[in-house]
Amino acid sequence: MIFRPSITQYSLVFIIITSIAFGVLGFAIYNEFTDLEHKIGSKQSAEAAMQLRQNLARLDRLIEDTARDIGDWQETRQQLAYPAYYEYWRDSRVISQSFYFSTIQAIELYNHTGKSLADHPREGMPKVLDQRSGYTIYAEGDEHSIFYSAPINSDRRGTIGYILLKIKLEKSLEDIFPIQGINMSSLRFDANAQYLPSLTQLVLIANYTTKVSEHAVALRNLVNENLYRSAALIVFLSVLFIVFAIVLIVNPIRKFAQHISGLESTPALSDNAQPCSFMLKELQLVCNSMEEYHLKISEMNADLDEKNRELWLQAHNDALTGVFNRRAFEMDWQHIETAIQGSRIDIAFMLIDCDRFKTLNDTYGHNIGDKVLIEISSSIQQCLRDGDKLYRLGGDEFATLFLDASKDEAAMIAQRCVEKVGSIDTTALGISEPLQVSIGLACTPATNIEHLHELHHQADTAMYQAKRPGKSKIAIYDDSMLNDSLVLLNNHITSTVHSAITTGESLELHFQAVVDCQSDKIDCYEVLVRINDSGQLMYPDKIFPVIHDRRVEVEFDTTVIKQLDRQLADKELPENAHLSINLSGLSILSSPMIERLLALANRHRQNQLCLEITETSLMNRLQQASENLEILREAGFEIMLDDFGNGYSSIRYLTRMPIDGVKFDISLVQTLNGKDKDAVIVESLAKMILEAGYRLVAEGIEDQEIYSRVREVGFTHAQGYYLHKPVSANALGQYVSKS
Amino acid sequence: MRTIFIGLLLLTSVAPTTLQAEQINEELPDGIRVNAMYEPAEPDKPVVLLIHPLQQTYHFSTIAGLADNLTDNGYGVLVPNLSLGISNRKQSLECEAIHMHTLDQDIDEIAFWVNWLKRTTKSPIVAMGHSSGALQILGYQDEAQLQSMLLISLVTVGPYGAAAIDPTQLEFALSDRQQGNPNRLGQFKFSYCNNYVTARDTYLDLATWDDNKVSGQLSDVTVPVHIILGDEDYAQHVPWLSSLELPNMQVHRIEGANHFFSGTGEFDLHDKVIEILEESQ
Repeated sequence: MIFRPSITQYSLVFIIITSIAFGVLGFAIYNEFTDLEHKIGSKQSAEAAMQLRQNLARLDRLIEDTARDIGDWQETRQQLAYPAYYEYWRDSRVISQSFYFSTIQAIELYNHTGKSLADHPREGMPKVLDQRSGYTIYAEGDEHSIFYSAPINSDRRGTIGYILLKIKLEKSLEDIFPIQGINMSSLRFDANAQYLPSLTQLVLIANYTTKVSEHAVALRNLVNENLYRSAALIVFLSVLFIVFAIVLIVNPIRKFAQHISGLESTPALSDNAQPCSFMLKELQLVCNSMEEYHLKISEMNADLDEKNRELWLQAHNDALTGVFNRRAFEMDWQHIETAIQGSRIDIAFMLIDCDRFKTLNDTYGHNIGDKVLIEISSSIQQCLRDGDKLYRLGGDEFATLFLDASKDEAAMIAQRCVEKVGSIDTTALGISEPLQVSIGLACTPATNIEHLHELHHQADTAMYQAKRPGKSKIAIYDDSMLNDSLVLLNNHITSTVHSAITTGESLELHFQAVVDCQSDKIDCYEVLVRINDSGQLMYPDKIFPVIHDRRVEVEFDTTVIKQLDRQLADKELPENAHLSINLSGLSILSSPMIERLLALANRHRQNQLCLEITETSLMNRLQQASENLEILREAGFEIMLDDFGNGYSSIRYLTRMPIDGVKFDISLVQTLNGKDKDAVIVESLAKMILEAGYRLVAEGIEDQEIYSRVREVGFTHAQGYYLHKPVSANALGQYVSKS
Repeated sequence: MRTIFIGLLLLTSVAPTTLQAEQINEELPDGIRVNAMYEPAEPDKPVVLLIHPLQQTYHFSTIAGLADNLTDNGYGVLVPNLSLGISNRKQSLECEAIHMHTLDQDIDEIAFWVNWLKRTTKSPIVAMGHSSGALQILGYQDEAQLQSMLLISLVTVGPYGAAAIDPTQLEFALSDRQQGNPNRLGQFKFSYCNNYVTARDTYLDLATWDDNKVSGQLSDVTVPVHIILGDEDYAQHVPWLSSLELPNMQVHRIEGANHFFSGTGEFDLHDKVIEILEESQ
């Protein structure tokens, strides 16, 4: 963690650095001043010694001048001549004269023989003068007295007497000639009873302490005072700085930080947002800018949230139906896989597919198709539980996940969905036929992770089963469905079918006879397709799911036509054979295919050709299909409606389409074996069609009983394994040759 | 009195002297060295022995002015510094100094200088003194050596006047001398000094020069005597001089002059002195 000091810590560091800098500076100044003081002290010592010498010289001159003035004074000479009143002169007259100075302790006059004029000389003064010139110094306690003697001369008589002065040495220097550089009280001379020709020699034996210069003392006091004041100022400024830093910086910044934290928790657009208020103008500006910025950010965030929500909706919702889209499904599925795997929750996957949606879309147009999807999705949503999500995986395929739902509960919801969709009022949509959905369900406990991963696939397999003709619209996955589903999901099959379409090499045409029920003779052969997959034949149950899934009906039909054309041309088929060709709805609408069929009919006029089309194929663009069929009928083709009963089984189509006959689906044919009302209806339907003049063909004749039954009902033709199994062209040839 | 004394000191110390005569140094018989200024007289003119007042020197302004005036007019001048008992005295003597001399000793020095003049010059000698100097001239006994005497601001010792003494102190000094202490020093009121220091005997000697002695001395003088007085000399209390009628004595009063003849009185004095000297010739 990076250590980030606070402003207070920075302030303290600043103050410490400032204090240290001041301390160093102050110490340097103090040292420099001390050095200067030492230099000044040395200079003062020298000056003091010089001053002492000078002042001793001045004292020397003063004493000598005084002695001379006294000697020259006429009253002194009067005393030397008539010393009768000497004491008056000594004690009164001489001390009142201007030349007398205060530190003279005593004065005595001596005659020319050196004898004192006084009978009783003053204390310490000799009665007879031995030293008659110069100085003699005597110690008196801590101080010293100097005795100065000098001769008094007369112009004519020479020395007429002597004068002796006793003077307080230290006192004289202190009072009369004070020395600025010396502590006068400390001045001592290391001498006693010593003769001195001159007072200046006292310098050599003087002891004293130098006086610190007043300027130096004043300067030292000034420096110290300024240092103390500066230190006090530093302390004061530091305290002031801390206070200001806390008041003006730290607290406002903390408050600012709290304000920002408050902004984070309180949206700027909220009524609870408190405006900031600071003493510092700059901080107030920053805060105002921050609030404006925060407001803009909040507005941008709100706008972004809205945009994100819209984007999320766009990304996760289907624009048409409003339900969740495939992306949302994949995200939720991934989340569910992660969240609930291993738990005991039962999870069910429901896959919903709209039956014949493509046909509806092609027939009524995309607008109607879109409305169908909206209605279906709305209906399914109404059937789901609260919290269940409906996803549109693509096209007409929807899905939902049931968490913690049992298989029965999921089946019940699926049933509600089927019924709800079936109850949609299609007339409001402009559709004259009901809507249906096929639902595949796959259920597994979440503990089974492998099953969880395969749930979608299993539901898909189940839905495939549900969509198979004759099956319930709801299929719950079990492992038996796996083989059927493999058809669609087998890449090998797909590639084989694709190869057969593109090359036609592996495509084999087999032929199954359609017997005339009246004569029991073969009337025609239905052309059935097989694909030779390395010696193994691949049957329509595996081929057509791929064809439909890949939407290659036209291409496949083209290949079949080409193959038939070639075999007819090669005389591989019986001469004049009546051939019935299955054709997809898309091929009927395809002009090239129409051209190709017309060309086929034209080339093989000896062969009666019949086209079998399914009911659902006609639903797509019915008008166009009818027109094309009319063209083909005019060209000689017979038109059969195939697999009647495996779809809408609309009588309306029968009346409106240009067809020559109807081929009942095996499911209707097998119904005839029953004795219930279904059999009655089918029989009645068959009779109605027969009465309308159509040929009626029964598929799935697998035994005599059903054959008899269809003959009884009145079917004109029958087809099935009981009557004739599909065979190859070669086998057909051989069969025809034998018969 | 105090004002006059201060004026005297100022005149003594401040007034310049222009006497450019020869300085004479002599030794008295008792060994004391004396000095004087001497300027010889022009022919036919006398030499004036000019004596300064008590305690002063020849630098005293009145004396110095007179000396200059006399020499300027061709008169000879001998201006001695009376020793006052101090060898080679050149300074005035303060009141508090020890006054060991008597008037008789001063008169002896006058006699010494008269004799010096007799030995030095043939010019007649006129003795001139101011204040107590006039008193000392009057005390000179051998007036026959003189042509005349000029006594300026003559004083007498008594209870009043420029040479006043305190009668009480006089009584005390007499008593003390009688008790055997003639030489004891004392401080006395004398003339302008309040603390004139001298021995009892010396003080009492001064005190003898009272009105009677002076008038007696004047009566005994045989040479012409001219007394010059300032009529505003308030220190002068010798009213008897005006009534004293002596055949060889003449009193001259100078209007507006004080004891020291300061100011315009000095010129009047000089004119009067020259007038007297010229008339004497």
